[in-house]
Amino acid sequence: MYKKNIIWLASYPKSGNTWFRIFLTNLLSDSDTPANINDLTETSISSSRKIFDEYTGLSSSDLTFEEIDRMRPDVYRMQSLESDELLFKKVHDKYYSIENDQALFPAEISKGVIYFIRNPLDVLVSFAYHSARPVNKMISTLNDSNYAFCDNKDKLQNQLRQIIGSWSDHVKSWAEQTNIPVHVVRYEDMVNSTFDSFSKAVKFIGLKKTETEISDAIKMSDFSVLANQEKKDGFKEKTIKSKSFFREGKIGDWRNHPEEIIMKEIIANHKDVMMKFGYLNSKNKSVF
Amino acid sequence: MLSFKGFSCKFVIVIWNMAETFTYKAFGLIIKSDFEIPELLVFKGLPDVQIKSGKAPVQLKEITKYGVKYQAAKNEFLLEVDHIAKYYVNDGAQIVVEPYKGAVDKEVRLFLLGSAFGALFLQRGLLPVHGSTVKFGNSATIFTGLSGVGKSSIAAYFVSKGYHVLADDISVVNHKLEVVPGFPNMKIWNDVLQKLDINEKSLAEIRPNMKKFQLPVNDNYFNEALALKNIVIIITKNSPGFEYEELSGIKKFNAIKSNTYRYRFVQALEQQLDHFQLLNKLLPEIKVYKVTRPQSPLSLSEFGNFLINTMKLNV
Repeated sequence: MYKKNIIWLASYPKSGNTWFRIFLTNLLSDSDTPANINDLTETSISSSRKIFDEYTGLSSSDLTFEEIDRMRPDVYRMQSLESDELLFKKVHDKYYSIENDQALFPAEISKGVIYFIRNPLDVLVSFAYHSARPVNKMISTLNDSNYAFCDNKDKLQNQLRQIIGSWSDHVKSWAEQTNIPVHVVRYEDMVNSTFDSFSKAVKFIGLKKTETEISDAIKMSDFSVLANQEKKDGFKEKTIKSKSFFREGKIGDWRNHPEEIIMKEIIANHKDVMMKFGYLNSKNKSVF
Repeated sequence: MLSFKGFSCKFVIVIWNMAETFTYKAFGLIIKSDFEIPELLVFKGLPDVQIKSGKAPVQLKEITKYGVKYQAAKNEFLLEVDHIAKYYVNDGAQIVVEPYKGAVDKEVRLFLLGSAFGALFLQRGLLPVHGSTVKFGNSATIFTGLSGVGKSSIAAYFVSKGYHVLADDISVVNHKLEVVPGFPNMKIWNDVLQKLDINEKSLAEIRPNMKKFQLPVNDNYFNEALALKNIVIIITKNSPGFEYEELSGIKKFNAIKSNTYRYRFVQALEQQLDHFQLLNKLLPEIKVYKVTRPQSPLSLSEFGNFLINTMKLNV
């Protein structure tokens, strides 16, 4: 009865998810010119209030976080049921179960998940810029098991609450779950071996695209194209406090921040996961 | 003999309880209810709509469209809110409410006055717009936009400055192209109350443990239908300053269509034609603006002044 037609694009923030969504938009469009970065529709975000309210027939603003979570799997089931095409949905929530061991992201409608991972030392720096907070203040966020987006109980925020957890919690929740086929993409491979990394992801999704089509979509999603578009027209996914969304995108930018103690704390808290995904060498030094 | 008297006495009380009804006027409709709805204004007259406490159908016989929590067909709508109540709305004339055991009364009413009323208005061929209405001069302006964009907040700000509201959250436009007054109660989040210097301790939460409160606006409630003059669609941006654009043509049409309260209900209730016709009649008569405001921090007074000056709302 169910169709497995949803691909979740999941990541901890600042890990290459938006870059990949822009690449996909370019890959799936017939246009010869780069897609507008502001045309990544709001509805493709899995925490959209608008979609939730329309599909449930209820106002999420009148419901508790727990009530919303209990209905979210059915919202995705209904979107899946109504679509004859593959649906790509951006996710920042960690993978978790609500009551009765029911997963927030139902396996029966999921074709797969692409999980984007990035060196947490660079995530720290990028996330700090994005949030306009000092790098050393951001460290507690990456270590916070209770970290969530839009969880302020005193006001209505523009998206549904998203439980994120610590950086390691997040990675493990998606990479170690066995209900949905998962393909892990490292941000560093997206930068260093772009064609290979993007081609493997396209193959995982099951899209039949030629090498030329993939190369063209990569070119139209080049960092310089995105940064120029943002400079000219702005980017709506940027926070108001940060200067730009497409900032540097560099690997190893954390080395420009001399807070060795902070880096030690990140490594101490996330050593196992960093090691597993090739971010630490045997001497506990960052590979990137 | 004594026991007979006791029996008859009890019987009379039961009849009296069952017969008790309440009559209100809200959204231009006279509503008779067999349970109290203190949010609404008491009225007298022959009812347009009956609200009954009773058994809702388990399922509709013929279903046009499903939602996660509702089923709909032409003239029939069934909504279920877990642990709170089921609501069956039919023919634009009746709502049957079946509360779950232990449900809190004000929670049962919250979804009655929200989604169930939304379906009722559409069944009656009215245009419910998702937003709040404020009276400027002698006409009405609706503030609409996505959830969380600040529709109720800006309306509450105008109330704090002495303006009158006609409706909060759902603004109903009738066939005379007027906004009809809803009821004198707004739903406001704690952060906005603080911005407006209103002490939340004197207010009731809309639901237990939710920091969203019922704000009665009796003195600043305008209880007559008013010609609709403007619809302002609020959107946010991540840069400072305010911007506005007057919409025309298809953009104007689509903006109102997508801000119709629960647009998916329109298709589900097979009301597309009525909805389309009322929109087409309305659009030449009103101005529709897209107003962009900074995400945060938002100064309600700056935003309010911008709206008044730019749209000449006081003229």
